[in-house]
Amino acid sequence: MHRRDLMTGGFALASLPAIAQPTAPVRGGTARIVVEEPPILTSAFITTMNIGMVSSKILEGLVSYDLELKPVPALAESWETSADGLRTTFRLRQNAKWHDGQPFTSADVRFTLLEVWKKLHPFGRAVFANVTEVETPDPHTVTVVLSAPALYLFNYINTYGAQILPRHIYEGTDILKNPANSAPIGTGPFRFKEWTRGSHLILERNPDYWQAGKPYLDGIIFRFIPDAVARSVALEAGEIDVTIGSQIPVTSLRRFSDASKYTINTDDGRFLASIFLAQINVRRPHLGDRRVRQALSHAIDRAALVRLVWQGYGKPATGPIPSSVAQYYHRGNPQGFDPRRAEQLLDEAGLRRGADGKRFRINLVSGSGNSLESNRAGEFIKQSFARIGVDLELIIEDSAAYLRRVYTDGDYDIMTSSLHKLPDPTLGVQRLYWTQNIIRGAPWTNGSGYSNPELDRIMEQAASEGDLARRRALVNRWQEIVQEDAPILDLVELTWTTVSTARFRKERPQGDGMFAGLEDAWLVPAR
Amino acid sequence: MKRRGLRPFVLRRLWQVVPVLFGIAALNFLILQLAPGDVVDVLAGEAGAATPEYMAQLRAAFGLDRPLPVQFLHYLGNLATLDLGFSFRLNMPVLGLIMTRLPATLLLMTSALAIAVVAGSLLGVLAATRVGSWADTALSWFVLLTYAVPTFWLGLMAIVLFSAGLGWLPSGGMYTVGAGHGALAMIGDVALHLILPAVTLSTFYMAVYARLVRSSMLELYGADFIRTARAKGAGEWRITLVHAFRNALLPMVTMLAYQSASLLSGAVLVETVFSWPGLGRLAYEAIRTRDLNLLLGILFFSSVVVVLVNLLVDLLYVLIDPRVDPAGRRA
Amino acid sequence: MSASAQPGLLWRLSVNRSAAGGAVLLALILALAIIGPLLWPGDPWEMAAPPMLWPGEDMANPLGTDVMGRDLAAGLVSGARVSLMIGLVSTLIAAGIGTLFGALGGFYGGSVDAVLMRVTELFQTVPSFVLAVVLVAVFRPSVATAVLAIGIVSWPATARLVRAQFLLLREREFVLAGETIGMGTPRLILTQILPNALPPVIAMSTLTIAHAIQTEAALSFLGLGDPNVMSWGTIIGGGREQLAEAWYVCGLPGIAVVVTVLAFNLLGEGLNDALNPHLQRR
Repeated sequence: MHRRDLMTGGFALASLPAIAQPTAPVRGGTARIVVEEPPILTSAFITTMNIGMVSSKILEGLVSYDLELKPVPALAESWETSADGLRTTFRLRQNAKWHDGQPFTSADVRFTLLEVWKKLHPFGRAVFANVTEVETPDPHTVTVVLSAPALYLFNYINTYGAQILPRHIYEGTDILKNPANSAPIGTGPFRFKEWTRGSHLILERNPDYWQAGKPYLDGIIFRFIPDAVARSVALEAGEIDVTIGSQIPVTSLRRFSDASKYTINTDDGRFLASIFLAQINVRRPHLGDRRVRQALSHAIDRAALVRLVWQGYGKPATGPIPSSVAQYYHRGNPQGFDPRRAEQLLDEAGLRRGADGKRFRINLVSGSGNSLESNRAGEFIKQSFARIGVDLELIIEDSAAYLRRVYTDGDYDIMTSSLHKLPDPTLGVQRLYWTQNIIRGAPWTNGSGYSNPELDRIMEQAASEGDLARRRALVNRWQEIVQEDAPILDLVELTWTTVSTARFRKERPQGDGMFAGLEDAWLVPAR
Repeated sequence: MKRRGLRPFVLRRLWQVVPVLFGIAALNFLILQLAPGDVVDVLAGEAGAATPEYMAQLRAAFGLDRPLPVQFLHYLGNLATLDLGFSFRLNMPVLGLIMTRLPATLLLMTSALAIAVVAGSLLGVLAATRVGSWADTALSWFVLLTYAVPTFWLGLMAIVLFSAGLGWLPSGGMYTVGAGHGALAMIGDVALHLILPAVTLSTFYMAVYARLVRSSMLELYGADFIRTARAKGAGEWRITLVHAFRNALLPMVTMLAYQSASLLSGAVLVETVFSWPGLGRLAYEAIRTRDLNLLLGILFFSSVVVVLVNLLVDLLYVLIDPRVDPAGRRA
Repeated sequence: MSASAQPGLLWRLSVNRSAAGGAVLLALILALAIIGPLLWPGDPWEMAAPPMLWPGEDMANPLGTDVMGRDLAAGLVSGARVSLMIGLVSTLIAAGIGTLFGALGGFYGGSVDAVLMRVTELFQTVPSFVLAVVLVAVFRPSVATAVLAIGIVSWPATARLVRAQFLLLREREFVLAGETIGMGTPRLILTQILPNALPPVIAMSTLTIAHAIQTEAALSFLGLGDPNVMSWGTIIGGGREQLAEAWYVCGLPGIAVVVTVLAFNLLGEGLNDALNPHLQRR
């Protein structure tokens, strides 16, 4: 046995008390959850993940998503879409109330859709672009009227994508500066109690929650622990119960592998469909040549990358759509690992090895706000490129400098990032390839500068296609084109981990579990 | 040397401080203006997306689109009225943010200093009274070693040993959130959380003080007034504590003032390692997110504190040792 | 102190125990940095071995491997060169700026001195590590920015020391004599005062090097290291998340930093003692 195994065993023994066997939900107790500190507590107009992880306990959406990313009722009880795909009607919960006692009605949904999501939300603008009117025939019915079918709409109306705000608090105010953004009033299972910046945030049970008998927990304490080691130690010492959003580094997960003491949930982030990718600036010398980009793609052993950098937590990516988005996923990548083919392509492109064995030199930028995995992936790619004679200079900058360099100045060769592809390609993937989305100065747009009129047409067609089978065919063609042209190398399908004590239980598994309300969560009492 | 009045001295020192504070504001303003990217880039990046029109709108709202000199004058004008501005990212006034974090940092710093002064003096006196012995050698090595250990690394190793390994002390935070303690239990809880960060931060200063006390005491052992005291029949312990040690205090106070600026630097690292909710971490966050107002506010605030501490020490000097000419010390 | 104090310096240094100890330690570290790559050839970035091997677990990697399967022994010797280089160059910068400020202020006095001292005070008032972080973060983390940033925040102490020396030496006979025979100011400063003011600056610089090496490690810990260069700080920064399961990844380079800093401190202290004979026997 290795010494490190002995050590981890020793740590684990010292930490947690024995656990009761699986039981029915228990009321009471406070869950202590670690997240990264959010700047505000409202997700209705911003997609910062850690805001979503906290605000989702307080504010709700129309639906949430199961493990297959199919919508399940939340504030919307049921829904139906007309045959032409132009009218969708939601029936709302009758007994939901805001935390200040006001009733929740269709007017709140209408207000938030038209004034917040459609105007201010970075994705909402696209998701609800086709919405021409929102009808509210009665307080518990909302009908969304569309100018063209929008199948993707159902993929982004949970509390993270389309969070419903109280109209009576926000109407007539400057929504972005409303004080409720930092002390939200929602319909959710937990009410906001206090926020000590830099330290913690306390939520308490909402006694009037619309699901009778829930939430089980008395409250939630969110703690902010900036150091990764301290987080792992705190979880082992029983100082905290849950960490959401890969707060425990993959290299430490082995210490939490004892299922009788800890649970590692790898499904909570399926909804985000995140892919670690390398985007190539096609406006740069050499990189405008498709053969060179293909060669770079052939140089990277994605399976080894997952194994070495992500310790197996993740999957080699094959294309722009990850396997968790099952209805559009298309297996296989003709540009997979093949270093010999890479060298051949570079030779064909006229970039032969020089006397020093090197062909050319390029840089790779990444943001320092990202995880250490992102840095290590850069080091891995550098080694991989060195083998085919491409010299790579790594640049790690803080996010302001990185975003400026990539999206405003275009002063880079390759950039890496973990981007959310979301359950629908029109929402999360199109933005990276669409010619109209080459927007100087705006982050997370088409920063590679890649432009292909044929692809543009296919993507636009897919967006307004109401028939699932035809839409799939279009998305397939889309994927083939971008694999062939390779302006972006999709490398790893990321897994978001929720690591908790085994005492932490949840009744309903969710594909968007990072943004779960946790009304169905409880803590098995320690014996 | 002629001793001048205290009041003009204080006024003159305060007047000298103004250009320094102005320089700090200007220096930081300039550096951060040279930086690529601004808070709007950060906000848009965090938001997930933004249109260029919206970003331009934000820049206009934050006043970032105005010419640099105008922005700078505006900032100076605000400073003159003690208005540190607004943190656009955290949606709060800078002064408010600083005030919520200040108590934690002050507690950490004063505890660390107290530990450093007490332990440092003790070690120094011990070494000085046994100069040349094995105890002196051992202490010297210990002090040298503490001096050489990087603070953050010591903190990390302390977590590995005392929190992860032995489970004696909490790994971070300032108190057990939501424990619902009474006042007394709360104090105990904070004290328990304080041990590791305070001791970690104190080690470097402790080493400095120990060496300072040792050397200044040895220097004084041969001095006239000690010989006089000996001749008058004062006991060795009395000589050590009352005479030699008291005189060693003076350089220690000087050192303390000199180091007050470096404490925030140490706090950045220690607060990061131990999740201590203080100013140091806030400063680091402000750098990362290009929160110009917040960072300038923190630096300005800490500079004012440093300047005041130095002034206080100068005054203390005059009071402790009338031979010192207040104007002469810095000339 | 005057030029006549020089001849005995080497002798005094060699009998000074801490200086000798520091020099020996430093020689060992330098030897490792120079010979090391011969003993552990190959790229320290090469991910060839099983990841997270403990020291001694496999003799092919005597000091173990990091989380990416990179040999720590190769990393440590490569890091020695980088960390020493960063310490030396940033100290040269600090000594340069500090000497310039201190010399001008001390020589001219008056308003020149007042202005220069205000600037020095400014840099002493701003928390130096915070300023270094700002500089490195803002101007893209790399070896060059780290060296510059550390140099820029480290000079005030040298400036004060040089200024004090100049104030002292300015009135000495040999300087006044030089003035009367019509030596120009630059020549006076460079040939008469500076050589006599330098010894304590050298002693202080060894301490500055020590501090610079610590600062580089701290910057890397915060993720502000150069991703293309393997320094001790880089290894610590990369291993900081594995501390609890593999403390040696951070621990070994940390110990290397401690030993090196210790060596420089010993040397600096010894130099100080040797240069201040009246403090020697304390």
